[in-house]
Amino acid sequence: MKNAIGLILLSALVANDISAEALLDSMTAVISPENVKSTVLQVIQTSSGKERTFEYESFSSEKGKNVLLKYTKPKKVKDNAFLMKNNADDLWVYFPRTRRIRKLASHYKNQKVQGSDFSYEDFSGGETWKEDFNIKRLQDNNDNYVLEFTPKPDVNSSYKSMTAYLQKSDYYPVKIDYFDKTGSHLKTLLLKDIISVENIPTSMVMEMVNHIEGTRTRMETIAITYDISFPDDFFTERNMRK
Amino acid sequence: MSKRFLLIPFLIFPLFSQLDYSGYFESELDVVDLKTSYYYGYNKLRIDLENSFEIGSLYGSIIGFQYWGKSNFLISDFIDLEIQDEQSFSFGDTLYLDNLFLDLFTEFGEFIIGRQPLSVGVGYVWNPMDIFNQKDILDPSYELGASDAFRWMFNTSLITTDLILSPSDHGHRLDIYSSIKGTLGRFDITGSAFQYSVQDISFLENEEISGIGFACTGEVFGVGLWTEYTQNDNKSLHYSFNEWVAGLDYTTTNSMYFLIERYHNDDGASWENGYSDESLILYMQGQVRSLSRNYLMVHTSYPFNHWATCSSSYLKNLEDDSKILSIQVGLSILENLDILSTFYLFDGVTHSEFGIQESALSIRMNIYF
Repeated sequence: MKNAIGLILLSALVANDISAEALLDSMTAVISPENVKSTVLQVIQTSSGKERTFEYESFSSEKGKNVLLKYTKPKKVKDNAFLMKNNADDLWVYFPRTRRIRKLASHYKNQKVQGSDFSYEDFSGGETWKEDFNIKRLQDNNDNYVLEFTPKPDVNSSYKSMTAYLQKSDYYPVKIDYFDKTGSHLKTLLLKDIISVENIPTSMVMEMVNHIEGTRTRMETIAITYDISFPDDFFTERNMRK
Repeated sequence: MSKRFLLIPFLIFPLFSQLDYSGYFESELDVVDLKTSYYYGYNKLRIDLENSFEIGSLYGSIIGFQYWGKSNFLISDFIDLEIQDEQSFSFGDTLYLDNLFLDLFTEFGEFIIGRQPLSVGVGYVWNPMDIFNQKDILDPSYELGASDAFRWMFNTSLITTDLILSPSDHGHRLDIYSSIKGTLGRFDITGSAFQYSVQDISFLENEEISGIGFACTGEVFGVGLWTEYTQNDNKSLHYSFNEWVAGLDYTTTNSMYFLIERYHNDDGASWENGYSDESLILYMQGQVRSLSRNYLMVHTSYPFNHWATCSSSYLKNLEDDSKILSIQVGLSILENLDILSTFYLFDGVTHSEFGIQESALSIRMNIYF
């Protein structure tokens, strides 16, 4: 019994000693698989409770550095595509009706993806968090390590800070609070239904709640695989049209 | 195109396994205050058919228009001709095949063969490099008609090459566009060369024009920037002219969007208390991209919520000082239903480009399926 108590105390001490950077590395390792292909249902719920449903295919490589989104439903937006490279620093949009591709400047990163509560910035890979944010460890709660991210001075972010809650068991984030430039609590991302897919922990339902507008967007993963590789020219204009 | 050709996609598509269809119904009402007030409108049905197979897709689009309200117009209602012999034109109900093309993805690149939408350049309202289309300056994001063409695009992770061959002059001539695009830092840079022909004012002869172009789009300090430039050589009439467009855009953190675009065309007419009939007719026929030489467009938009967006545009002819202010409210009431209302206010002295009209209201509804 004494040994058991000793082990618990020891693990608590070790846990307290984990640096913010080490926690971020652990979190990044579990949320940033090398390559991903998924099909996602995007359900936007307005402040009046009405729902609007979209479906898209998502392709991601180099731990989220390159992302291609192609909408498949509804018909109104079918084949609209967004290509994000260099962690959404470079952004292109494709309009199928005119078959035109337009490059968007980084100010567009702050905008909503198809009117949802997710911005393009929210799709950027976790690998950049270490480069782009100052990290501070806050007081743990019973189940979670808590990290605070504040953007470095030269980083263009629409957030003043973010607070992430990581499961102590596997460092997987279960909640991220986003605070706008004025410090107001803008959004909360909830990561639910975390299961193991191909031995990688995966949140099958992500929900972004917008506290200012009273809206929420749910991303339900319909299908996902990490066992995929992409050719060098996959994340190019060609595949936006294909 | 003869209506019997409309049968072609229906004959071809069943040969393939998976036929996908989409499209929209569009109904528009326009109320115009132009000398006298009148209204007109149309119902448009567009059906897109797509059949995907292992290495590509086959596309077809059928478009039908049914007009209502006023359908006969005088050319002098839109341009300020001195010729007293009134020329008129009219709209009639029509059904036509707008797209029918094969899109093949191979290891040698993407090949698109057939009647297809072509769109090149980086400008929002004006695209000097686009030898195939001319946008509606009052509605620059509206879909463009298709062109018969053979297109070959080749992508690597570093560059994109593009070659377009399009027959013109009833097949007697070939319009050619070629470009190479690469990325330098935060900028996409395109170099192009082209050759095309336009009918001269008599409609009997063609003028051959060739040129080179340059386009660049990217950002500086978070502000989106683009520019497009062409140097054109009219080989038939032995003169050269330049066209350029430059623009910038920015979106604030509360989603307010701003766009400014400036356009110059050496080939446009000069303003001398009016425009010559020749300049007006050339512009109406689409033989020059703009009536005048210098324009400015300012555009803002703001999404109020998931359902409503408000935008305004200000278009100014910098030569004759005439202008158009438009205010637009877009409602996305249901998942597949959009309603767009636009109010136009025109201003300008007598004989100026936009001074001929007073105001207009347009209401457009789209139902997507």
